[in-house]
Amino acid sequence: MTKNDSSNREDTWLTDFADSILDGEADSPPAAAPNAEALTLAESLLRLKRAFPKQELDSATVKRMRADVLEKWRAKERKRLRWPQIFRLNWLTPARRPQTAMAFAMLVLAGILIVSAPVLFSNSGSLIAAAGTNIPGAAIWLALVALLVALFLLLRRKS
Amino acid sequence: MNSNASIYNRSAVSDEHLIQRFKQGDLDSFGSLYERHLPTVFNRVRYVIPEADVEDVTQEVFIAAMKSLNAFRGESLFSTWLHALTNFKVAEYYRRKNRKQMPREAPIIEAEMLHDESADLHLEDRIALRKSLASLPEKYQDVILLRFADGMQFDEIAKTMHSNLETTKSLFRRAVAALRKKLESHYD
Repeated sequence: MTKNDSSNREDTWLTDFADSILDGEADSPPAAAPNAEALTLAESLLRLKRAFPKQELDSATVKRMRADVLEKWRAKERKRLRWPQIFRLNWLTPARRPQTAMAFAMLVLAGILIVSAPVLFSNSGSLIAAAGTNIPGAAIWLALVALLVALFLLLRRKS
Repeated sequence: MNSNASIYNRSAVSDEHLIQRFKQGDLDSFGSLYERHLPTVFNRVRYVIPEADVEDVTQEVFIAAMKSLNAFRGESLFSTWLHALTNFKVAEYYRRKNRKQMPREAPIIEAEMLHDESADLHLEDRIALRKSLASLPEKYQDVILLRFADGMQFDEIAKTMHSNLETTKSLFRRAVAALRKKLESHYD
């Protein structure tokens, strides 16, 4: 008998023993084994079977776990869908609330006017030249009108 | 439970059909897939993950499955795909634990978390086996768990592992020998 044959025989002996443990036909170390090592391996398999006896999940646990998974999934989905909406500024789309979108635009316009007025209305047009100068009256008026329009749009009742 | 889900369970609707339905937005069809595959995933996870975290990791496997199911092309069986996902989640669990520097006395903590430990004569062995199994190379872990946790016959395991029966039996023996070695070092 070659070394290969003997090795194959040991492999088959161990897998057969694993089958008999799992089929409930063996629950103690075998009386005979091809060699001492095979016997220790068989003992390891018995330990594995004893440490993890077959465990069936009852239907209540299955139902609870199923409900948990679906709930966690829904929560994850809600979270996932919220961010793209925010970044797409869906909450500002004219179709959703036209007056909010218009008011927002007016506020932005007023902000831009106030910030850029010293540069826009100074003689040289440079920030350094504009430093220390007062914001020209025309810019203030324009910003004020934009603010009033924004306020009007925000406070106007929906028709 | 929704009546649709009950119908799926009663009849022999294929995994592929349920996946298709889920992709079309039918959440109940995933519920059926879940009930069908839960015992296998749960059983596999309990062999390698501490008792207290088995449910959580099992849930994570299914949530990950729902997340990536749209990308599932059906090139392999759903069960094979889920099996790979389970292995990935188990590995991820240990990576996370290692990052948190799991204390050396973790098995003791695990034992304390179980309320019926006095009645469980095999608790210490289970902890040692779980640790030893989890530290085995993936191929060794797989061949042992496919037989013991998933209940597959050796010829089925050979097919799953794209191997022949002789090679699979030899791999099993080497895997058990490696497990034995790990167990010995655990008790040293």
